Amino acid sequence: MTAGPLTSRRPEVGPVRHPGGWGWWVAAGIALLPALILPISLLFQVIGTGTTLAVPPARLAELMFNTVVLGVAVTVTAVAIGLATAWMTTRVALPLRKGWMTLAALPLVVPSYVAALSLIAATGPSGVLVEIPTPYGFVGSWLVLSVFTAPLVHLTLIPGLRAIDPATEESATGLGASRWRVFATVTLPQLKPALVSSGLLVGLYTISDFGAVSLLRYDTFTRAIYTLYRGQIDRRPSATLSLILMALAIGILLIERRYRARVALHSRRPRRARTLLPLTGWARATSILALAFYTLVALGLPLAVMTITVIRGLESDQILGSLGAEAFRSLGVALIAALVTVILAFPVAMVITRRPGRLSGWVESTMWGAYSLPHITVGVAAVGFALTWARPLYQTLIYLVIIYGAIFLPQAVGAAQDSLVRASPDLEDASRGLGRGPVATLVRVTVPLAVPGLVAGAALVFLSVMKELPATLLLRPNGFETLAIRIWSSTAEGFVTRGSAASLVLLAVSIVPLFLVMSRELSD
Amino acid sequence: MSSATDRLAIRARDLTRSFGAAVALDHFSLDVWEGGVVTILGPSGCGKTTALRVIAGFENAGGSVEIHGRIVLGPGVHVPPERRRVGMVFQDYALFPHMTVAGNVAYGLPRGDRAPRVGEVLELVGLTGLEGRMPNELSGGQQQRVALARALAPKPEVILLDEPFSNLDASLRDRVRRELRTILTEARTTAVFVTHDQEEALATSDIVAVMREGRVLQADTPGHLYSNPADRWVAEFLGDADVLESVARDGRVDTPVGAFDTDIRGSVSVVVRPENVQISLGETPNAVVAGSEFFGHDQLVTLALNEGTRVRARIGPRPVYRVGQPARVRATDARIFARG
Repeated sequence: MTAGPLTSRRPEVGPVRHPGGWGWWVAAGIALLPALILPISLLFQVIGTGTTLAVPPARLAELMFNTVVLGVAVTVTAVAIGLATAWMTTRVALPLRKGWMTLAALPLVVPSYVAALSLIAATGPSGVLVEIPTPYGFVGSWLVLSVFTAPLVHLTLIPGLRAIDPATEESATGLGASRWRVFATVTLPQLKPALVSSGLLVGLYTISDFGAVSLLRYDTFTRAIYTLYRGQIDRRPSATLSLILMALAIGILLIERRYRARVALHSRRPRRARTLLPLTGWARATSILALAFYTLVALGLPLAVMTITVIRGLESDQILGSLGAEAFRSLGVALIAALVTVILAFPVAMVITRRPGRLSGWVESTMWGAYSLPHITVGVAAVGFALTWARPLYQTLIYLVIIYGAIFLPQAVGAAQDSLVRASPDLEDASRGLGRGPVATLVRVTVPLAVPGLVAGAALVFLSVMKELPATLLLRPNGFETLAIRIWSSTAEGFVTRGSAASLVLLAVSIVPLFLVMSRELSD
Repeated sequence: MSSATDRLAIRARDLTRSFGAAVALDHFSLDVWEGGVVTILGPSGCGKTTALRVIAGFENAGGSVEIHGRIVLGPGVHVPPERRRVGMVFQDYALFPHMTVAGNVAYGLPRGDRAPRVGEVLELVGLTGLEGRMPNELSGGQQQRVALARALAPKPEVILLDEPFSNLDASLRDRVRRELRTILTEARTTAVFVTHDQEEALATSDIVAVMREGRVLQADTPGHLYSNPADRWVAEFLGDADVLESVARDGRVDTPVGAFDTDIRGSVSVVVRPENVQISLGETPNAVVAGSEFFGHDQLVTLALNEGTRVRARIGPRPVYRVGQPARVRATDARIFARG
């Protein structure tokens, strides 16, 4: 057994090696260049001018405490919510089960700053919903992030629940175990890898979040990094905090990877269709109510609050601002970034699927490592790199697009990989055997087969770029206001109406790519 | 076998290839005469698919390959697959899922008027009228024939087929095998099959090359191979066989089922095929009937010899023997190999 993923169908044959394959490696290397350079450049920024710590240790301890407490609290809550929604929508015979499954996943597309904005607009002295004081600080951040990261758990657990062989649960029932005992002793242990994995993902997401904690004024690493970056000419303190946060994120990612690697081999698809749990009476009513409540809180309320805010604002002639221009910029930069990322992603996906081995495993890890970095830290690193070594790139659209590409590369690679894995390498061999050279084979066989994956990948990157806030905030050209920037800055300055209007536009333009992505994600 | 007019279509010499610690090819050598149908037969994992892929150019290896006298693989030479004029039929057919049947078949043809050749080849494989279908709208047998048509369309000098029948139902397999043989004869193409199925190899080929652990142990006509295996492993791999251990002396070896002539001296293995074993009831018994499997057209009777070993006899459907019945067993023919 050699290292590397066990993707080869045919143990008799090793990786396909055509002469001239080095071109793919070069192209993949170029795609990965920013992911390699940025952390290193951050390290140089931190140690470059001295060895003393640029941030007081007491402050560091406070930030670490705040960040970790929020991470743990959100993880526990989100896993509980996500487990409930995933279990109910995969296992219980509910009316419109698939519809609930999609609805419970949808809040994931609500950016954290939009969620925070909804909470701010809903509460406070002029609150749309209740006139209680806005829960700034820990409570607000915890509520918002728990509700809106729960779909991450939901989406991770659905395949996990589907992968459990129904026969294991049925045999436990046959041995006389109660429904609860089956769940606790058979279902849950088999689900544990997916649970741990999704929990770590939520933790990673939470410590990386900037939008919610900055608007709700909870002092975590990300908020402190931005404050230091804005407030000081010396970039060392913000770079130092960024480096520590990066290390924390990488640590979580490594645990997640290790855990996933250990369990991946166990999941096998069940051979038979599963019979759904026929709940009746109060149990059924409770399930439906719980799902309805979650969907209402996570989707209905934000939409209603923001709509009411906008209507009230229009009635009192408040200025909504020039949303058309922002929408145009957001759409434009997201489209370009999606296109560029897909082009960069294709050779990476080719290397990973067609030339599995130690080197391509390393390519994959680097790419996912960059993906897990908190965007605010990527922003700080990229600014530092540009100011030190690539001044002409600073605050240009090209640089912004390059950084988007570096961050969101794995989304496009993953989708392209799905298509390429399904298209057997024999197809490429068949084309070569029929007299077509490598280029003709690429154009006529490989690329056409990868198109569905590339389109899905582009949609995913498009959505992510539309929503992206912290890196955009740091790297955008002067005056380049996107919808995300507009929502965040309006809310931060107290213009909730403007922020709500921009949020509604952002959600509206995300709908089409969203359906593309969702239909793939939830299919059996 | 070879007459003066025969030419070599494939000449593979000392092909050597390993994947990590696993040796796939170990000095693999094979000659294929023009127009012949050769089958590489071996257990799974013996490297036979790798051999095919090296000949086609999808895989690199040490050693050399000549196709119609042209060196396509050798020291410093690696002709890419698209310039080897070799057709390949893959185990899972590898039809392009995004192209129609006609698109698939036309793929290897030069630009220009492809339609006549596509029609011609589809007629050859009996798929006229299905030009517009997509591969996923075809049955397994039809997909296989499209794959064959696609490989034949550019008139390759050699066609290689990797386990072409393994994805077909057993009921379909025999028929498709016969059809394929006819099509290949009509197209006058040299063909190399790869299979792990002994019956299939013996039934379809002019020459069978038995392969084990990366090398060819023996290559010969099916009949000669079956009756004159080069060693005990080949003998047992090619069909039912029972082995009796004995010692040869003075040009003879004695066994409980008879005495045989041999040039070998010392410890030997005597390999007996069930169809060469006879049972009689009248004489002094040397065995007891231990069981039988009935196949309709014949039966396989297992007999326990007095000193403990067992031999099987393939005889007609009658008579029916009882378990425990004493009998006299005699072998009319046997292969003798030195032991160790």
